[in-house]
Amino acid sequence: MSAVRNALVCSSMLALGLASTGAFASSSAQPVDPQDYPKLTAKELGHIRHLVKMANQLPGDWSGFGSLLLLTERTRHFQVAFAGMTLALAQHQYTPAYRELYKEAIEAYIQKLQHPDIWERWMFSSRGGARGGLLEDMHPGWMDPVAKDNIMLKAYLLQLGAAHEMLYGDRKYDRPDAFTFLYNGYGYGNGLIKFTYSLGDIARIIHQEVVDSNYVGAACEPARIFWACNAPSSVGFMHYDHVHGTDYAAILPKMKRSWIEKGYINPNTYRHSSAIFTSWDDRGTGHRAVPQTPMANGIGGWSGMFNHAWDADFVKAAYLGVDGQDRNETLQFNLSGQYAKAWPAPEGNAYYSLQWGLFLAYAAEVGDKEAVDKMLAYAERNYGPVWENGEYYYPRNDDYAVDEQGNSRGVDPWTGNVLIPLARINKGGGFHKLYNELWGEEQYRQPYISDVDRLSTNVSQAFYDKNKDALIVTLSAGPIAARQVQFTVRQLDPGKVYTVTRNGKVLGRLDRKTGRDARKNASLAWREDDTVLITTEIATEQTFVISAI
Amino acid sequence: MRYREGDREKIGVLALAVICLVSVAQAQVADPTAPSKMQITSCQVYLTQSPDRKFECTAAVAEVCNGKEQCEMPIGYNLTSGKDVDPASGFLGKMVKITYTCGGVARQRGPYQQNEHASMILECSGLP
Repeated sequence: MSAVRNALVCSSMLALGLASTGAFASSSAQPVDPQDYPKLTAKELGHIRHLVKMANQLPGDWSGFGSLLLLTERTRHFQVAFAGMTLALAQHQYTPAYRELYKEAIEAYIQKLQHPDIWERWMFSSRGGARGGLLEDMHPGWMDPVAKDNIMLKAYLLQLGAAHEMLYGDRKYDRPDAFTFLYNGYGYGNGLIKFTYSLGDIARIIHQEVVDSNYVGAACEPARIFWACNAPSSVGFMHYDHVHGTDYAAILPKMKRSWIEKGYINPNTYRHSSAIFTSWDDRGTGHRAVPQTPMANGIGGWSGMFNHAWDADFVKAAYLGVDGQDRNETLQFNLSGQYAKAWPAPEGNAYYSLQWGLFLAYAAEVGDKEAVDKMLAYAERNYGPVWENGEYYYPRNDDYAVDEQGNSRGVDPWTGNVLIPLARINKGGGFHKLYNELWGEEQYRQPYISDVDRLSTNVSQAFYDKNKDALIVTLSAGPIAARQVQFTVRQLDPGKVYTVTRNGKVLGRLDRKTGRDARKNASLAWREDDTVLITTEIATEQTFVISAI
Repeated sequence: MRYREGDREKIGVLALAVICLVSVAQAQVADPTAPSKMQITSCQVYLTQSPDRKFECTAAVAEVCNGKEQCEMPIGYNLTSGKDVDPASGFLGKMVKITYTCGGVARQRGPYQQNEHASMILECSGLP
């Protein structure tokens, strides 16, 4: 009898011991291994911090955006747009259950696109001129940056605005004045004027321009349609349709078919004319194509990384080219330092630095890990990456000299701020997932965390697994040291009981009915508003699993 | 000094008149920085290719802006009875020009393209 009693005692003690290690977080909770879920590395977190910091710079403070590449419209708004989309991708795939940081930064970037420093450049571009052979002199132009052409700006308003709607279920960009452009300069123009658009206005206008062009596309500068420039709005339609129930994205295969039928894309050789000139008055007539080049090189990555979302097989094949030749040659061009010698003028160097980054981002999206790893290694070796207040990025370097091993330090900010981080964060098909694994009410209602102190805390993992009814959160120390930090868990079901583990050990049990943690653990607290406050040390990485029993 | 009967009343009336005149004069120069009110003198929508084809919109703008120091005036089809007066000419084909006065000083705003998404901001402060 005593033997039986001893066995029972021993088994009870063993069970308690196992429970305390978290091996069995609860009697019915499914086992959860945090390593099964996406997680940002230290460098990736550094990239996120850099992009968030740039998003939150005061209006008109373009520190770090300055480029050697002097396109008429400059490159700031492209950096802004691609940075916003990088954050959207990370939000979607790494920290879907931690939104405040990304949401606010994406909104800040959308706001930046409405700053006069960005959109007023259109007043130059809209005038056109003799260069390009369409006009004998400059046209008076027009101020409104959305009404006609300028897809190089409004595509990103659509892309970012629609991504924001899909991610957050927030309709703020549906307001009639969601996008406002106020001109109040003194030295130019015929007085103060304000242009206002909703996201729906922008989607409708772009769609109509594509239709009116006979499905060639919306123009960038007047009378110039670029395949690359239309890709962001093309995928933007996918998000917009998802949220609004429209069918704008039906034009995407029509555009591709139009380009193939007109001979602007050769689907056998994967060559294309990157730009089509049109008549000045009518984007649907007078088409003239520029000479064809491989879709993998040049600015091919610009469209490739996004069009992969709706045309994956073709886009991946175009990346490779026939027998992989285009991919191999472009990779060699970039890794041998030829990119830094290709165009001696300083501005040309920056242009090829942009191409370098676009190809890297393209490689990442189609999942060419070998190319990505080699190019990231090149960047680490040559581009002088810096850690600064928790941010990690590659500062601009105008030294495009190339050594005998093909190393060049030359890098422009669009690549150093955004495209390299994007490629590091995109583990393959990231944009394809962003545009095909769409969020809705189900995701908006899932548990998530908030109220994270951004200076002291990094969130490298925040994922709700609906199949296991478990929230997985990993925190690490931010640039400002703190002994303890707190965060709030929202949208747990107060009718359920949850087990909380930290670093694999049971921290406690959350039971709303009892109003407190069953173990009276001070680091867990249900609050009156049905949220849970969790307090933790942060000196080392802390991983929490909150599982419904 | 002796006053004749009625002098006090005359002096009182005179003093009152002086005070009134001074106060009126002061009112006229009291705040030279105060913005004056606008009076719309003209608004026209015209075709870029045929500037003689004009569409009157003065009343529509005056209704919104007269008597104000600043006015935000939409310059879309609200100026042309809710319709596009020449659809074939497209976005660049129709211009809006507004003139008005502020305290007698003439101002012009526009021409800008007639645009369902644009508002001209008419003001009496700042540069004429």
